[in-house]
Amino acid sequence: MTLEELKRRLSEELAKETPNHRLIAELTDALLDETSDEVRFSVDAQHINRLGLELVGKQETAVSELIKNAYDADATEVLVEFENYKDKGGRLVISDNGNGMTSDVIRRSWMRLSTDEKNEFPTSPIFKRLRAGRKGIGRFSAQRLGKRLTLESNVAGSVTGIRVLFNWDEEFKAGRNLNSIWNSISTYPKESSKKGTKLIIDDLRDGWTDAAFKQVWKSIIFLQPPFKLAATSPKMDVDPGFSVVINGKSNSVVNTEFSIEKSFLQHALATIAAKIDENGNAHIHLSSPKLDIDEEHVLDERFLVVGELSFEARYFVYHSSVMPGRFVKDASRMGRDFGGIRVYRNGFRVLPYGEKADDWLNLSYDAALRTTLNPANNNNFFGHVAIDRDNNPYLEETSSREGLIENEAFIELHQFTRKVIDWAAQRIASVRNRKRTSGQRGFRSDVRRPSDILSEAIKSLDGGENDATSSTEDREEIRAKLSAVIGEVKTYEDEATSRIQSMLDYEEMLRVLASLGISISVFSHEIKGAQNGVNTQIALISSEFLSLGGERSRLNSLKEALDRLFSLGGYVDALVSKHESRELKEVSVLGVIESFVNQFKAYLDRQGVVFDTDVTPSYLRTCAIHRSELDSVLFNFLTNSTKSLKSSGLREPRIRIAATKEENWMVLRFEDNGKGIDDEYIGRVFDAFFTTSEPDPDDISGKGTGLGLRIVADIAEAYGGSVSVVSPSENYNCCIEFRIPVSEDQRK
Amino acid sequence: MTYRGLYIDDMDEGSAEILSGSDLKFSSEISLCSLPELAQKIREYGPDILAIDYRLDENQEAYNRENTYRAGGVAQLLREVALENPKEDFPIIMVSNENKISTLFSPDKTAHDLFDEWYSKESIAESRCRVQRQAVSLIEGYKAIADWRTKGHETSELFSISRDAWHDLSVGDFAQELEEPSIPTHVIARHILRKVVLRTGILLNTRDISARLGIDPELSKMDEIMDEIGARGIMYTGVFSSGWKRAWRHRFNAWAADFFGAQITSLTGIQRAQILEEKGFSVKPAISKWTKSSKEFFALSCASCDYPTEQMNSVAALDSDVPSFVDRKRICFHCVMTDHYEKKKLKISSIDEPVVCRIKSGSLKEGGA
Repeated sequence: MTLEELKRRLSEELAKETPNHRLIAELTDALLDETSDEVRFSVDAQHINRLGLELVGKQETAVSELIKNAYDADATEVLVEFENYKDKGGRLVISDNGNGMTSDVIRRSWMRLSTDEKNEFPTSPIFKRLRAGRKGIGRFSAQRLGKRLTLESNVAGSVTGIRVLFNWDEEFKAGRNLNSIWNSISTYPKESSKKGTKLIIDDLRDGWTDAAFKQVWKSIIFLQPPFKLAATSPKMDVDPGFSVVINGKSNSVVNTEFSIEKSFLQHALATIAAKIDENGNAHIHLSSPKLDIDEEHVLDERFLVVGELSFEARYFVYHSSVMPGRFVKDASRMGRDFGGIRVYRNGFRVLPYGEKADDWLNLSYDAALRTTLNPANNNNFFGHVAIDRDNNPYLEETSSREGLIENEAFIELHQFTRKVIDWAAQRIASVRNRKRTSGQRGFRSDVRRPSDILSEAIKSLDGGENDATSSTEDREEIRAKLSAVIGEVKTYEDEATSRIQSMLDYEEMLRVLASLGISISVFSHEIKGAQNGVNTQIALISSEFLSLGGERSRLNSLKEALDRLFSLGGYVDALVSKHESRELKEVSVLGVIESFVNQFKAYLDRQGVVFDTDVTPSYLRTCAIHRSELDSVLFNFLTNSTKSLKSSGLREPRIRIAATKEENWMVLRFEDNGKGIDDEYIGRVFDAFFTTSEPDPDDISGKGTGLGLRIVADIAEAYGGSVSVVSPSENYNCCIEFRIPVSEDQRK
Repeated sequence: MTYRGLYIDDMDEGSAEILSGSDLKFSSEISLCSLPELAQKIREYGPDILAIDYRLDENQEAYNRENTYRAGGVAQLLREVALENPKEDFPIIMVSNENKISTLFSPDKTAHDLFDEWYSKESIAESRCRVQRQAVSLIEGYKAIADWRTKGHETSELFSISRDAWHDLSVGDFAQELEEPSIPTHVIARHILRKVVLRTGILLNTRDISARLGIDPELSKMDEIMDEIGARGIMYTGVFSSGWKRAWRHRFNAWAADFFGAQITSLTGIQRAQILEEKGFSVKPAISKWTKSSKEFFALSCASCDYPTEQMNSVAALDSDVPSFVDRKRICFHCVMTDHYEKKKLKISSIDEPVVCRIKSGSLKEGGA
């Protein structure tokens, strides 16, 4: 359009009774560009596409960015719902219950590129959350995800909500000026108390597969650190946190599914905590209850640029010598999938650090070169570095939101993290007496081979002298020494044979238990299945039986007998189902004992057994264990006690379960006033297949397999605890004590 | 009048018979066939209610490749038919063994809320009368809803309450949901069951009443109290009331204020029990599972143990998507400490996580120490 044409069209528009203000603005802009003596930047509409499609690489990153915005707005719940998402063209709705935006905020802030509002107001108004987004471009993730966006925002106290429509692909085309594109804004009625923001993204650019959802969940689950971070503001403790629900599935559920804490972290060999203090000194705290390490260390080097930060990681060695054998495979898989050191800024994940393919600390590289021999690959660590904007101003995220700018501060972050990891891994290797580096000299294993012992003895006999000069005394001495050596070899061989035998016994026990377990599982399932049919028929027969003048007491006896059977079947079925879950958790001792007593009270009442329980303190919790294992412990103790009580023929049989906390131990004592354990058997009761009981088919405990207490001992040992026969309290004759560590929070 | 029920199961071990009573007879005459064929046969039978087992493919003898569907598939087809033909909208209840019910339906994990109610086969045998009563109530409720829609009566009539009283209940959008002309009878029934009858809110069940009275529900003679409440016109008599015994909360509150001469929540359990005893009721005060005292201000029934508990000694359960007039579930501190709530598949709201941490670590102790 020529200058004259522009002027003419502007005059015509201004002369109209209802002029088009948008057109006037556009014509004025064009006129200014033609007539002004100065030049200015203008923004092409397709810049929006750059901010979305080209800067936000992955679709799951885009979802994370939008969730971060909800977090910044003090939301406590974010609902993410996909519709028809399997192919392109679906719909995504992200709604939160945050503060929402007024029309003014939308115009001033949401519609303004690269706004500085989050720098100006670094914390959220209600929970004082340190805002995660800073560049003011996170909202364009919506463009990355779909072709159209409907933004609905509700502010508490207002009776109207605001709706804005964006048609990214149709409107924001190359060649158009960004400020000439108008997006329709409208209002709608709403309840005054309703607040929050809803993003309706239509015509999704990608199809979403289960694998893609898994990626989103991973990015959301790891969006916040796996370990508690120190509060960065005094008011942080009032923040109730925020939950994310995707297609009806909440993060608490998914967290359980992924089971990072329960299936993985608890098997760590050690915990490494480190920090850089205000003077740049790096402090490390290494702790490992399994190796009895609890050490502090300060690195020689100081880190003066990066600022105060903290680091925490769990260290894993996937070997049966340091974790229960049955978890090695699963833990190793979790390590491969989720291991690594992540970086969190203001509590939010910075990608790609700690991703599966990322090796920002060169741990995989060095492991491949065998620079270090102790296990120190990415999969051996699960941890994070926590940085924040106030303490680490030089650690800046790139605009793509995928990485930190690699400046001097980042180099220090890298060096600090790597040095902490190297020191800790080497220290652990040293305690485990493992060869730490390929060049380590003088390394000597604890285990000595018989041939080594013989060689050493012969060498000492030779003494560098000639055999021809040997006297009779010398030969006697040789004979004596050789005899001593043979004796030592024999001892070694005997010990090895005995260990092999005990392993074979143990293996046999496991085989027996495995086949027993399968049979019990099938049996209990069938019992459960039969229960409905039997109960239904009993109920039907009852009415007929009673109408024919039958005695109710006979029916009740039949019902009681069946209830006993089904109750036990149900208990075993529940035990089997509980064991199917490999989840480890800190278990309430009172809760387990209450359920146990509830299960067997009717049975014991019939036997005339007085049942007494005492859990002090009532909040006592075990370390993370399988709940079914504690049930098994109690069940094994009970079967032993009932056998003993029955054979004693007492008038007032009594059982007492008492649990107490002693230092860092949960101590459970199971006592009865039966005949007790003969002194000669005390040393053998925990051996596999050892039993003194006679079979009694009428008893709940059945025929003794000699495996019960062995299993109890194995369970205790698996958690670093023990089981022993101890002195009973007054009025009781037998007491077995089971101890395992208390929960982490209850340790002193 | 005797209603006609239809029972579908691949292994009926007497459930049809046990579900039947004098007012309702179940038939199990339709055997399994392909899904569309089965739906057609059910329609032709025209039952007043359908009871269906969750698994229909467990009987190896009756197993057929074409029959590898479950109850959800059948219900889905029938519900779709009901959209087209409102006269064919009837209640559908699911029966199954306890494990499947607890895994799939508490809370409801299925994509479609297709069943009006679900029962374990154990509960049918043990509580035969209750289940029969509820099945009949569902049939009559559906008929009442259909009648109400045809005649275009006030919503309040469905609940047998005056228009003004209904208005005072402030149920907000709920009434609008019911009055929407396009929604079928089974959806209206579901709204009423899930939001009014089966949840504590505008109605109270016996456990809620014992909690509000601060008395032990097992050791007190609740029947005497429920009779008194019934005599005072407090009981709910609207749709589904014949299957589920409920009282109006607003009427109960008004009666309680008059009966106790004070706001009930300002009295301790012991004080409430004393007044009840003075007026001739045989009751025992509830004992707080946390403080072990009856001098507590009992307010609600724990969602885990069903025993009276105090607002201050309980935490919020995760209970989203409930309307404002429904009480959010709460779990007493004792059930939190002992993890008993997990057995009921309850979860704790993240808002109360700090309290849970304090209970589990022992920094918040039983007895209020």
